[in-house]
Amino acid sequence: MSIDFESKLQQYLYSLISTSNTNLANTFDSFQLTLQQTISEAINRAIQEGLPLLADSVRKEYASLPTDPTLLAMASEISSMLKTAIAERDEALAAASAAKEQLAALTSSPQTTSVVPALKSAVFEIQKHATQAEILTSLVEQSANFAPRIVLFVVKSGNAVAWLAKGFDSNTIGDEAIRGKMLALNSDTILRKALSKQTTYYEPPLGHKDNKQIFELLSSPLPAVIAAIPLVVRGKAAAVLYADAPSENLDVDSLDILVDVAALTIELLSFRPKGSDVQLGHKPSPPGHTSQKTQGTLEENAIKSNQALAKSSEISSTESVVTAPAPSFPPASPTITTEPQKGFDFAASPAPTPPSFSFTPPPATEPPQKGFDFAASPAPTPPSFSFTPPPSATADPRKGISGPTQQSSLAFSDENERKLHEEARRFARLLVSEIKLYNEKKVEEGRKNKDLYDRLKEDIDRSRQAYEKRVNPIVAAKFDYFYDELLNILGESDPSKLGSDCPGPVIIPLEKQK
Amino acid sequence: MTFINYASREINCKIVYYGPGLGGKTTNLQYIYDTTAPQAKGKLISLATETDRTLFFDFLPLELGTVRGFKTRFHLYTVPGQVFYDASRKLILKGVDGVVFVADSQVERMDANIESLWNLETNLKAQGYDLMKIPYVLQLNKRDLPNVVSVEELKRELMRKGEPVFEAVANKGIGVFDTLKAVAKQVLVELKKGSGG
Repeated sequence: MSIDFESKLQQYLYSLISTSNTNLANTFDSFQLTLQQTISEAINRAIQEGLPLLADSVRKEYASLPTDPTLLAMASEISSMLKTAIAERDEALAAASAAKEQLAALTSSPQTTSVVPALKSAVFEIQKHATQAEILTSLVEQSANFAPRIVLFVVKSGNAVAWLAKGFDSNTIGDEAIRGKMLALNSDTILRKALSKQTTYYEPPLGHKDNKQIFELLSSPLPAVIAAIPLVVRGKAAAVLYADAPSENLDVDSLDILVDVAALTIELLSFRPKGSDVQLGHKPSPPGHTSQKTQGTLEENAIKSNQALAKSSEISSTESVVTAPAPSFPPASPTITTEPQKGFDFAASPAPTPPSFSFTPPPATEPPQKGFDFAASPAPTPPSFSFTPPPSATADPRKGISGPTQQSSLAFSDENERKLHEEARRFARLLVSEIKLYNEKKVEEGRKNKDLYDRLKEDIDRSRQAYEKRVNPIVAAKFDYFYDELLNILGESDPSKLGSDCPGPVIIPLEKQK
Repeated sequence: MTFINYASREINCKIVYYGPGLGGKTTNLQYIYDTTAPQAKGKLISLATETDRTLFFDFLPLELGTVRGFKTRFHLYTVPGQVFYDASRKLILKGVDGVVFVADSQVERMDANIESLWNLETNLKAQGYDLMKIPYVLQLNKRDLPNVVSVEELKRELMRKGEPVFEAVANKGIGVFDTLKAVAKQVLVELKKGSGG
């Protein structure tokens, strides 16, 4: 009996404990579920409504939880983890938002939107020049669009000699006064470092211990940042472009690109065939010339360009008259090497390796229009544009030049384009009429002897350069008004009067101009 | 920019004769040189081509009396007019105090006048000047030729700001000194303003 009672009691107790355990487990599970739901809802709400609402929500939910110390401790731990997670999430969101704003600012900033076109245009400007002096002058001018103050130093007898400066206030020193100033390259400056390492340096003004010599030379207070970009030609650092800015905004990447372009353009000078000196590779080669003639012409060009530089009426003569004598530049000879005392000191540079490609002029028998095959050029404009190819006279190898181009069949996309064409025509007419006005005797003789181009080459080439600099690319892609006026005004509509060496019309497709 | 040398009590001003090629800029300077007393002028320096066309510039220093005890010296420059000499023109405009635009009145040079005036405005702007603010005179030269544009039309095309306009025949000296006096007066007025009084 007692055993029976004891056994029943045990069963009852077991069942009671079991029920309690089940209840306890259920309670705990229920709590966990509630807690999880609370956290989940709180996070969702936090995401939607932000942290303040989340905090309230958590507080309210916690208020309804059991007051068991263990559970409270656990809830507290979870709350702390939750706060950390939310803080991290907010941080990430803030960073993402800041990045987004930055991106938006960048994409809407005129500077960013204008950098690429400006850079393209600068590269185009530098590339189109035909002598080292012109290329370097253009480099400085174009670089000034990317940095407030620029000085191009050339290396000469162990010194960096200021060749051209831009952006210096004329109230303090002015660009002209800087020219010809020298800085010894044995002192520890950013210029020496850039030249010796052939690497671009960008640093605070006193990044090298003797940098102050630069500022003394430039009579300048300390800028915020400075940069030095070496101009490396045939493996030798021949010059260095110095730039500085009063704030930390210095577009070193763009400057770097421009210096590289200038260096490459100088290197490629020697490989340019006659007639391509002011073009971007689309000027027709005068037909009928031979390989030997091309060689001769290159040398002739080099000598002439150097002579022109020496006595020059433009930049160089200006230098010699108005300012302290600046170092002169070597001839744009096919080898680029020059006397050591002139400008770039290429004398010590290794003998130039033979070019990896050679220019092969079209054979003498090749029809002249081959060099500027309009039909082969991709159409640069909408389908409305049509171009009538030059008349059959252009294919006459006897003349070696193109016949008149015809503008009459040009179609313009809109009124604006028509105005651009009118403007180009007007400017071309002005240029050519000035050639005539200034050279009446030569024009008469040239017409008689059918060698106008040979007699007036310098004026014609300079005028063409001015025309190409000015004319809108859309126009240049359709019609060469300069040639047309040359033919009409000087040649009296007879192409043979221009002479066999006269380059024909030049059409530069838009994609070539980019 | 006017250069004042306090030590030697000198004021140096720069006046540039601008305009299309063969318009008479050098002729203006030549006439001034030829008719000025030797003590008032320096050498006329010309960098010209073999056909006597201005290659770089002409330069004539000229003394125009004393302003408040300062000897006033005007440096007269011309620019090469041919369109493609733009770099030279830009340089010569540096530090300019006053500009004379010498227009060629001939019908066939109207385009050249307009181009040159546009070029002047552009180059002044590039140097930080404003044609609307700088001392400026318009000279209509070659009025004696048969094929000239009317003064009214030239004014309509070329006047910019109500500047003084002078008809001229520079090779005969007509209008040359009137033009110079007008621009010099404006420069001196500016100088007076600049010196506060």
